[in-house]
Amino acid sequence: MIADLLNLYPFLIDGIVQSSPTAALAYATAWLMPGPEAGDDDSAESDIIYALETCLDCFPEIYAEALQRIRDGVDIEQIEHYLIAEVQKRTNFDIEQINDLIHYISPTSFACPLFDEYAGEFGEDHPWFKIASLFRGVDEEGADNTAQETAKALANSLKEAEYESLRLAVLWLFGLTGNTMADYSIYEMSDMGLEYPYWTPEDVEFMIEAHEEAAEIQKMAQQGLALLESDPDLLKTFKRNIRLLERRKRDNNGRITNYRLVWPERAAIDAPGQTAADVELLPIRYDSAA
Amino acid sequence: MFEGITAESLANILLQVAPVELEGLALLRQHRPQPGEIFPRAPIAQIVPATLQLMAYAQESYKMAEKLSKLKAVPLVAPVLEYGL
Repeated sequence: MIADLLNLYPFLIDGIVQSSPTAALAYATAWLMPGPEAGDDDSAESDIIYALETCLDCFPEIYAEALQRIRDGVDIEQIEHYLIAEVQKRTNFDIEQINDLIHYISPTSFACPLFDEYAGEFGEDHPWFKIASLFRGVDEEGADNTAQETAKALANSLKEAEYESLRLAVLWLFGLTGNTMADYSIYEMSDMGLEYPYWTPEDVEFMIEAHEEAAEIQKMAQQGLALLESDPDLLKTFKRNIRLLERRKRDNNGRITNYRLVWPERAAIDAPGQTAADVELLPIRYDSAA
Repeated sequence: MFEGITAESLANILLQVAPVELEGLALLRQHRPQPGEIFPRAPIAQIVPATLQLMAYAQESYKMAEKLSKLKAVPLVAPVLEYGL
């Protein structure tokens, strides 16, 4: 008797598929893209459903595969791991938990951790701090306006001299690159009340590019710092030029406007043809110092 | 020379357009749910493209319905006799 009832369903489905294209389409839709609805609670099931909605909009392949896994009886924890790993693989976003796939895209910070109180491992003896403290107005707390304006002027000069990695190093040390993720820690971004982009295909694409740019800035800046640490002549010129700038007259905003600095011949790392991040390409903050 | 078309012949023309062959429907014809299950089981390699195609189809259908709902009346050069303006 029960077996008859269990067999009734496939029999009815047969009838639907054979007789009515509209009903068959509705059944296929319910099967393949059921349009999940989350409950009001904060349960793991609801989180998964919200995360699946994100995937339905932005990563349909992941959605389809996850749905099939759910139907195959894979447990929720494994589905969570699958969604996180797959989205991370496609975006390189820093996704730690399933909540990160809900509502908005959490940015990743590529900022210099030198003055980040939560980073903890960068003391006065750190080589980067020694470089930063060459600028007047820098202490363990950070850089004041004088130091930042000196850094901007120095970076402009380095741009003219085509010292790209060193230019980015100077801007990156003081959070002046113009790329939010290369300039601020996660805590700073949160304190500033930045509105993060939502999980939409357009914003995902934008954030992937912004992440790539920030990562490139970080990489280039660290190359620039390494260059400075390894080249005593360049370091000497660097110090001298900072002193020259600090002696220049400034306008009411502290800007140094009239200066020309001399740099040694470019090192191979900054030679033309090397990869260089274009910080003007994707300005997600509009006060770029570059 | 073309002089007009009737609603009936227009309907006949539209009916001759081949239906979209959705992979999801083809899968439904190939696989049946097992007793006690609501949906059939099919290999993931077939499920994923079928889902993607259905999503694209749903989006296109939605867009078309939106467009049709906003369609304004236009005077026809080729009159459909039953609906002549």
